[in-house]
Amino acid sequence: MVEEINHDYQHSSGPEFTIAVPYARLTDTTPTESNPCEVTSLLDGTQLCGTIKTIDASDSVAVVNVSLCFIGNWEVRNVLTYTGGTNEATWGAINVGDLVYYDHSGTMPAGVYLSTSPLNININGTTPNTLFGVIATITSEAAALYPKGGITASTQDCQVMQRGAGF
Amino acid sequence: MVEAINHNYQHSSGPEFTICVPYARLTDTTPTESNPCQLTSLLAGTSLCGTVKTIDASDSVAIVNVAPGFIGNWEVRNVLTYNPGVAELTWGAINVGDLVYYDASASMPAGVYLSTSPLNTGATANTLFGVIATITSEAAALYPLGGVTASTQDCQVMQRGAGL
Repeated sequence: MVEEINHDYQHSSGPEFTIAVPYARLTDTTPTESNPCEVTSLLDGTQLCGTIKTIDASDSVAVVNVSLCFIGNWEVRNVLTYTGGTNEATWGAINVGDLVYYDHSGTMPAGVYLSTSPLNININGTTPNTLFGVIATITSEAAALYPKGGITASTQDCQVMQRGAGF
Repeated sequence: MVEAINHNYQHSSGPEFTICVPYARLTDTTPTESNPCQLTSLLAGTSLCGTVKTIDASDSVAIVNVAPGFIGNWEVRNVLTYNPGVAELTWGAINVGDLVYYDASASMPAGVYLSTSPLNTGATANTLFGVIATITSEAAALYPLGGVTASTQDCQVMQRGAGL
């Protein structure tokens, strides 16, 4: 999946609390509307996450929805663990209730920011990813599509309820 | 206490954010309206919790309110620690501000899902469900509830919900 704008209907209508974040304070410094994002902080695994509502290229700031419980439709990598510094090691099915992390490991497919791995691929394999949210569906039809993926590597289209500013 | 539907007036009028959860993804796969619930997840102690708003038996899904700040009136077991794998070990009074956990230990009374023990009887982590919180001075004056012997207390609990 390339970095692109999701369709509006793929996201819940609310709630919404927006903040302005300079590109330089985002883990991905080339933000794209509707994608998940992570604000940099002093301690790995504690970052504020949210959804890019829009961008102001003239000022190089992104307007980010950091509201708790906002639901988005995003691609989620089914990786569970990494071999430190090298590659993905294990994968698993993604199911309703599973936690989802903002994962900027170098092995993530382009345009995919979320995975089910609590740790990223750093050289020791021990740096925490930030908890982004949880797999959550709002219709029985959507719920019936889970679990998605399995014990081989894949990227799945999932509904995720973001944690946002509910650190 | 048997597994029963609480009266509506025992819950706050809001906030509310609902999601749809298959029974199979709940720790208690026979959900009952108005009761606390916990979704299963890959790591013990990290699960999403909420309140069963209603159920759709035909599709075997529960509609769960996962809004942080929602307050419910629930039975809370006053156990603090377990003798792992055996039984409850210590108990304590429950007071305003105490953390409350979703506790699926087999020793929990029927229909009671919350306790003050951060670990369950298998020595694995319980998930933080919320905190004892009252909204009137009259309710606050009723605390502390229970003491150093085993008991189950009727408490007001503000749920953490999706504020993981």
